[in-house]
Amino acid sequence: MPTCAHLPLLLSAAFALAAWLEPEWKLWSGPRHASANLLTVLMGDSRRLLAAHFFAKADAYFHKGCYPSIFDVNRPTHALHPAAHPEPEGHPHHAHADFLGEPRDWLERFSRNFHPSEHRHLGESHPPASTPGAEPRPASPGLARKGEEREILPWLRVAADLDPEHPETYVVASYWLRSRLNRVDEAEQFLREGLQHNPGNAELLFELGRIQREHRRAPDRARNLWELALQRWRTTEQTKPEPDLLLYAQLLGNLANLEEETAHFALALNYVEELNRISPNKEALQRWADDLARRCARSLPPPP
Amino acid sequence: MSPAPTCLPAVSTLLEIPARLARWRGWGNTQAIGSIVLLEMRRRKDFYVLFILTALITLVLGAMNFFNEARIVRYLKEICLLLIWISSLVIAITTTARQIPAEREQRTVFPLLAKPVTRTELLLGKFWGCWQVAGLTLLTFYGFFALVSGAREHQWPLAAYGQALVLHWAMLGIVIAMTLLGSVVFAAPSSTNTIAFLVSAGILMLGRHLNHVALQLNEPLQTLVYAAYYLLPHLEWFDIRNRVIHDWGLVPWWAWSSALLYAAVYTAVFLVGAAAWFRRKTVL
Repeated sequence: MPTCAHLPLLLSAAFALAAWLEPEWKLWSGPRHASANLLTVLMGDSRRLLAAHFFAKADAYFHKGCYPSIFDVNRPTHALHPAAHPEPEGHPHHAHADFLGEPRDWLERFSRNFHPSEHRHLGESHPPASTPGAEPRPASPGLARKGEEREILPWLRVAADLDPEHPETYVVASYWLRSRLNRVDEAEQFLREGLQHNPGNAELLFELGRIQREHRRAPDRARNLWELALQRWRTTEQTKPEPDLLLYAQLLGNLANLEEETAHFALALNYVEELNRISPNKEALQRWADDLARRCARSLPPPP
Repeated sequence: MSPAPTCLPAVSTLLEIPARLARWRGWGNTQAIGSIVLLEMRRRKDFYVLFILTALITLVLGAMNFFNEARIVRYLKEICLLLIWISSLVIAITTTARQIPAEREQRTVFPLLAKPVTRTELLLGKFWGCWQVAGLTLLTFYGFFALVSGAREHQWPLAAYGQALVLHWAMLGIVIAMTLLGSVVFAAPSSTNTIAFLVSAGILMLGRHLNHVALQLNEPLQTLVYAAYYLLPHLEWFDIRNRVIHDWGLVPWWAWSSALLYAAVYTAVFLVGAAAWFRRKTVL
């Protein structure tokens, strides 16, 4: 009986509390207003940690499960690289490829039969697994497993949902979508989604420009996007103690190429000279600049 | 008179082993007790709930669309296998942990031991029953897993799945024997459950790295941790999920067989320990 007697009282209290809290909640200017995303409200900044975990998961998938744990000493220290920027041989990542090192004892040697312990990438084909300790076998690109890279996409999607303010996620996903999976529309859509969350981000604009140039054959749109990206880079990155020079060089190089192709040699020359200031490859760039200067002089109309 | 060759009795004894096993009353008792555990599994809801949960989560995740790529499958395999591992551990540990305490609580242990069934036979029967339950659970779960992944990627690497299933089952054999030992040593099933879960999860997560951790420690901790690395059963060897998910092919058969032998040895060690403890223990 006491339960029945207390029930109306409890319901009244609940109603009163709801009536008092609802307008307060509407007026609250906390992080809820920053994003209507329920995930953001519920998880706060911890979602960024989870997003980083899923981004690393994508990288682990790219390496077919052979990925260092927190206990491995030779963990790669640079940014994750699901091949957004293809690496030449001898890149630091490959220097860390054998993070497992030599087995320390016979138990460890034996245990390597049960988990992936060779450095491999998605999309590469390999002969059947060898015995541990054998010479690593080269990938055979001729037998590449086409489209296998799609397997990293779910983790990138989840990472982007959890932390939409991390532009690298969009860039990496877009790279795979457009370059290996031939899904240009999806790549562009994902990049635009990234731009909504990171307005004017130079990295995203650059990647969008690549789609316009390489897949849509729209050099004018690509130029506009890259020029905007360059402008954004100068306003955001230049003041940083360690600006993203790779992106800057890529922007200048691509713009120079584009202007050269469209016979705007003077503009191309400007970009190359600017690139020459930050690039270690000064000799080749100087030759390119000289060539552009000659063509620029030839293309100028003769003085009246 | 020359003495009879000494090897003849030995050979005849060896030849008699199968017949002796068949005549061994204990095997009949063990099987009978094991079948009761199986019956119990059919009546309880644990298995059905976990299977439906696993199937539902897998199917809902499988229905998700990522960039219009219909052939993405590895994330689904990973989540499904993770759920299978969690479910199988839950079923194996909880089923095993309650066996002996339940018999004691309901006082059915007295008529059982008066049959006459020896204490060792009772333990072996419980182990055999729980291990069969684990095997049947795994067959159902892996069947579902093979169907889901096969339907999605149009590949049927049944040998790899078979290897994974048998290794998983062998690992559960160790866990069940260890839990049985715990259920004899500890008073309540809840404490056995907790300790068995913690030990199993700890070994699965850290077992592979214990030697690396040991090398970063100072003496005498280093020797202690390294000794633990050698002594603990390496349950993580039996977890070949990453190989299955990322299509690494088959585990070399010699390694696979050696792992099974390793599991058999550890299972036997735990069972002998449990039997020795149970023989000395007062039932009430």
